[in-house]
Amino acid sequence: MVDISLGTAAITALLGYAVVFLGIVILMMVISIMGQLMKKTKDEVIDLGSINAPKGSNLKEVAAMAAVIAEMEREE
Amino acid sequence: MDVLATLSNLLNESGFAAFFAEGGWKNLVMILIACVLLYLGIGKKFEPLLMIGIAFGCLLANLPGSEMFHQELWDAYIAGDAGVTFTTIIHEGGLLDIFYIGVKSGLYPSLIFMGVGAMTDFGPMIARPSCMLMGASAQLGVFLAFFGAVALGFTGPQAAAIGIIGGADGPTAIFLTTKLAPELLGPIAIAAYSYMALIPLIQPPIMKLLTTEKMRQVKMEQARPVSKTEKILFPIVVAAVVILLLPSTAPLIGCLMLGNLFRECGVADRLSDTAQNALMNIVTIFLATSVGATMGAERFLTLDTIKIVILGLCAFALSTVGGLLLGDLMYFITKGKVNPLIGSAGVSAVPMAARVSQDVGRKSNPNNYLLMHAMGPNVAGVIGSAIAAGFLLSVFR
Repeated sequence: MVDISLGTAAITALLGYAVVFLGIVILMMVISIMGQLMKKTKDEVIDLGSINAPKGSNLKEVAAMAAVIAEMEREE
Repeated sequence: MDVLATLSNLLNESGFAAFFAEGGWKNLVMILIACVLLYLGIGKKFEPLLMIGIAFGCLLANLPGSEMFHQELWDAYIAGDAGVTFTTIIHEGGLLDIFYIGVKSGLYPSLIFMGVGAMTDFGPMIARPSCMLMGASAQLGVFLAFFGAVALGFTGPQAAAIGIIGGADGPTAIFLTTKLAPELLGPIAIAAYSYMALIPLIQPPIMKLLTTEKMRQVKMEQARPVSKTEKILFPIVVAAVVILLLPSTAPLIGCLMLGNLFRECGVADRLSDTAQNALMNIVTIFLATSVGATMGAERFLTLDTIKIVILGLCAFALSTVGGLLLGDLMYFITKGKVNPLIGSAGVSAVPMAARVSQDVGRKSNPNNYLLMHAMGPNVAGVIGSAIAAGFLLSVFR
């Protein structure tokens, strides 16, 4: 494809723009799924903190601490 | 020994005499253009790291008799003439010919991308993946300029190389032009880098035209924090997905993501530092001077150069429009939670386009800090323009 007609150019341009969107949308979906998985893993850490809490302790406080620990681990 | 005859011979063989030979005035014009570019780079600080090298390469290549760059050798190489290989060029070429091998092979743009990857924090984009759409939308100028170039009589590969100026990404423009239309490398590189430097002048009027005062005042919510694991996985996943989708993007996306992995993995700080500083600086010198060397008078002083300069400006402006229109759409869909100004950062000039979004936003609302929000579309634009280049390469190669 060297000398191309205006019609071919228009189709190529449309197709190219669509491919860029397709690529970006696929990436966006993959990144979103990755983010959800990471969030789920973090939530599980918090839940684990709640389950291991001794009877009679304040579960909300333990969960909050677990969240802080998870946050610190993430920052490290 | 006839002293006068010797002096006369010396004068006739000097570069000065060549200025008075047929077509010699063109070299003088190119030297003048090189001086103007040097002024823009040094005096006006227009992308100085590249502009100075490009201008000096142009100056060296247009000094008659310097024999630093041989366009005829490269023409023979491109035409596939028997016997002209990189080895021939190393043996018979000048210094700038040897530098240019790195451009022709796609080495320098890829290494620059590695440095860009090592310098870029993709966190804002990972935190808000929806903003990636603005990076895709801002490739509008690439394809409209491509169409415009075909309408103006350029061939398909030439039009593709001209269109990619709208991606606002110098290394990608050089990479694609070298592969598809090496004869246009000089004007395209000059147009791409000049307009990148002019982003603070080109974008604000378009941004104000396509947004209302109320839209510009929107304060966006802080994005979620991104974990280290996500940042490490990101370059691996992006490289795999994009290269599988468009294998021709492999050199650019592969190097971009390798550089980013150096940065994010936390155990290769020395490599990350080298990629974003020493290596990047060395490659920039080679890239800029060799691109400048391709600005020979015969190639540059043509009507095509003027067409490329105009099409490049249209490409930049239309890409900004594309990003802003999607920003407007996201503003309406999210009921005013997204500031459409970040859409203009979808052109991939990192981080200048994001800074322009921040500056224009702060003029409407002095307490508005859009920079980090605009970095998302901005880095998505780098990936978007690489995908656009990969598509055009796969169609026209």
